[in-house]
Amino acid sequence: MRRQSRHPRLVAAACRLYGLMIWLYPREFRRAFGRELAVTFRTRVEDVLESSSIRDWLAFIAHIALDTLISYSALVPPREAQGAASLLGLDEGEVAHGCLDRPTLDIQLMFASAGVALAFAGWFVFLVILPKYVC
Amino acid sequence: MARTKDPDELLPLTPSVFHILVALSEGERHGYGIMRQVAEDTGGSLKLGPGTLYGCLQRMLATGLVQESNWRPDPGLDDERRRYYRISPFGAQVVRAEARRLATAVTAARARRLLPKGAGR
Repeated sequence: MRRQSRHPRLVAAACRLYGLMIWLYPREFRRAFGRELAVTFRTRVEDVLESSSIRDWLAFIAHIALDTLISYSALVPPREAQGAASLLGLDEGEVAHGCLDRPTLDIQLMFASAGVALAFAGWFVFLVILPKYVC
Repeated sequence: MARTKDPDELLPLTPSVFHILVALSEGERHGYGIMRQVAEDTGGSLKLGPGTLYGCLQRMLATGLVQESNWRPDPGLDDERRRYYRISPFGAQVVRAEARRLATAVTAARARRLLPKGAGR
């Protein structure tokens, strides 16, 4: 039976953030599996919230950020990474001459993932931990 | 991607692919069901994230190791957007070949007393 979460607002906020992360993936992959990724993530969030331990939450956030980084690296061929370089305002020549190579893009993605993880953590602190001490 | 007919050509499998095939060998499962089964089978040492899981499934569908099932859950019981996957006959051959390969490796390790008594049985 489909269950009702005890924390619908938290689940909805986490799903919105993950929905943004799904946009990092290649279009073909998103079309094929985007909805399933979202459904699977939602179920996982509900399970983690059931345990409601801060340690589990932080481990979950780190796991999702790492998973997104690793799966993105595996799914995106180097040519698309160069395409991402053009989004940053650099032309193909700059990429070809080593101004921006794949490892650099991976590092940028790592920082982006870390940013998303921090956003998750901040959102968690703001909505879950702070109210316990302030109220 | 061209489909290969010789299971040995795909060996060794990555741990994720191997455990996904093992999880599906008992029957059809959706993505989250696979994730939970893999975590249970490995005692929590291999936890697949959604991106890794569906990245693997995409490659496994292309290689013919798994097939998408036509079955959909009752909307009242589960999310109807879930897709179910099953192992293909070729996938079953491949996972058996990989299990044999791993068993040979374990036998060799045991012969050299690299495994404590009873481990891996």
